[in-house]
Amino acid sequence: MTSTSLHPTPSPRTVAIEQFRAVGLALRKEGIFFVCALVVLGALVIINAIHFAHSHQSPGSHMGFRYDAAAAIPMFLVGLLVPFGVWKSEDPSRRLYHWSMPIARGPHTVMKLVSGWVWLMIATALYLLFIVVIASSVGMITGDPAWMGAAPAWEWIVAFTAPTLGYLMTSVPVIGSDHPWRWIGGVLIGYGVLLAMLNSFGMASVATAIQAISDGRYGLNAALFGTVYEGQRGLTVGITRESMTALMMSAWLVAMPLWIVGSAIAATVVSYRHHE
Amino acid sequence: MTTALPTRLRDGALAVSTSGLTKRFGDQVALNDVSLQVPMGAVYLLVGPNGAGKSTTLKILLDLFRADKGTAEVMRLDCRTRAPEVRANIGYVPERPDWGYSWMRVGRLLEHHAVYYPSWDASYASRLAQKFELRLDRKMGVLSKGQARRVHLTMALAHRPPVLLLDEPTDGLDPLMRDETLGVLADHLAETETTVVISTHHVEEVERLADHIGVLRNGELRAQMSRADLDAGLRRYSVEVPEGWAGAPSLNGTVLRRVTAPREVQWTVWGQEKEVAQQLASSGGTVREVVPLSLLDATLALLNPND
Amino acid sequence: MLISLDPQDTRPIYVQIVDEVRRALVLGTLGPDDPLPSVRDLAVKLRVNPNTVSQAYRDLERQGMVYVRRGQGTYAAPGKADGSQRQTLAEEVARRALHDAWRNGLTASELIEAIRSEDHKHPTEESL
Repeated sequence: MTSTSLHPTPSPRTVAIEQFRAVGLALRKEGIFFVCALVVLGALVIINAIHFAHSHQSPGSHMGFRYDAAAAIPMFLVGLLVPFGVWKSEDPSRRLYHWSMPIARGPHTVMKLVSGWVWLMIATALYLLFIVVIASSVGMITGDPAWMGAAPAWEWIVAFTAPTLGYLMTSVPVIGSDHPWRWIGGVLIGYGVLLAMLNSFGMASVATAIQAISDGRYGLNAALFGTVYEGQRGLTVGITRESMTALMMSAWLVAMPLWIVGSAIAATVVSYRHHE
Repeated sequence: MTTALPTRLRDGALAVSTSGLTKRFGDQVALNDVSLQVPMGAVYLLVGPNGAGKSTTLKILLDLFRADKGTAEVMRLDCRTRAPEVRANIGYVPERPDWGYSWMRVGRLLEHHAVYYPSWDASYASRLAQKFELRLDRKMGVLSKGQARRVHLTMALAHRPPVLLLDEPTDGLDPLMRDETLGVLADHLAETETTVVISTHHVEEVERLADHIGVLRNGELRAQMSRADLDAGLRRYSVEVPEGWAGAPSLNGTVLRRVTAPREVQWTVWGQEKEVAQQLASSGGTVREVVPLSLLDATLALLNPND
Repeated sequence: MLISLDPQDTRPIYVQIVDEVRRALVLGTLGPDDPLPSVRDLAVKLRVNPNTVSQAYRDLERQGMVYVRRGQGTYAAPGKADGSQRQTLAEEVARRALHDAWRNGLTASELIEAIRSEDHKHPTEESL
């Protein structure tokens, strides 16, 4: 018998492209739902604006829209949910197919993780485009030229980083565990119960220290939306909007990379872990 | 011929080999010192009851499981350190039907699979799809066990891998489709240089394809040999013995089974036919019949000795 | 020529294929210079390992019952449906009958006697 020639492994590039397409297919239903929701929402806003323009145009009343970091909240929530779509019916105990492909398991899992993220970013871009279109339409209909407000650039970037962070954070339990909801619920409830207990046992200072994880200068809220709280402002009186946003930006600028890098490392670690 | 059951093959190029594989799940020993030897081009039947360690062995070859001890090689590539290359050379049909994305349509899954195997033969894939009567527009998740198995067989065969690992390939198939599958496998073997490992407990279904056999029981490899060796060395002897005959003769062979009736004894013995028959005759018995065993009977004898 | 295998037969499959071809030669269903099915076709039809069919064909070639035309296939050798093949076949049948007789505790002469009287009662086509 002649020696059988060995078969090559696929090029990582073709696999990455196919993963991107397959993940897109997995998220198709959710994607269609997302677009429909935007269309319906947009239609409602526009109808409302037309109604507004034709009825009580009393002085002082206005219908407008100001963009700020809070606009990223819906996409952050979407980002939290997307990992469930990317890995649907593929929890670790049913991931045999993914793992038996002729490519190293760690990089293959990361490819899928990244594919889901790219789709999320596409959805985010779509969402921002929607906001711009709707806001400008409303501006035209109501004749209000200052339709977008004057949000600084970083508040636009938040729209991308907040869903990214949400996506990475839920990806960790979804990739790593058969029961991601238990982990998510457990961590949230555990955190809440811990704080409540510390407070009720008169250890408020410890509670405050721990609460910095979510609300601190470099806490999760700062990382997501640049949210800073009373105690951390330093300035409480006579704060202008400009100095306030500057403060938020500086908090966000440090906290955001910290949290994203941290959760990206965690997601990579669970991707490379050998499951049986 | 040695008289102990052989567990090592004679030398030759091996497509799949393991050495001293040991695997525990908790305190349960799934595999104990298993050294599999599958020659190039063989159709190797890995038989044993459920839970004997067949699927575990195949999963170690794919690096889905990792052994606690021992090594495994496929086409001379280490299964642990060169897992992607190993998997590129394997067509795998898993035991579980939920393999591949349940939300994906069959046709799209085949396309997806093709991307991972540069040697995918699209025209062969569509011929297989036709033979297996695959419904390409159905979602994987709604398929029956047998339908899913046929999709998996198509996925495993269409890239013509050097090694096929088929875990219960006929499980869940109706008799007609089982027959068709055996035909497809025979055709595949004629057309493609392939080594096949079939794990099954339905020996009679695939027995005509097999030329090597390995018998696993409780995680241990009890016997491993070529079909020719098995055909030559295993016999059932029906012996007429005098009434009240007491002395069981010392046989130069491994007695796998002994069934006794008042004036008759049936021995299933691994050993040299002439020698064993002579020893039986010289002990006062009359050897009425010496027959070779079907592969199924041979397997049963190897699995359940002395009952 | 139609080849079929008896699932009850525990002899090696290649031996069974050789016997089937021999039978076809003697019966004349496989004439001189008739092509045998290709290894692949026969393997698929019988659902056996193609190597087994190859082994049977090699054995047949060694016994001179078939010959191989390079790149074309395997053909029945001419002049093989003669006495020697009939003899081999008869020996095979006799061996099976003897084996069965012995299993039933009969001697060879008892068997031969029984064959004669059966043949007398139900004459076969040939002895008519």
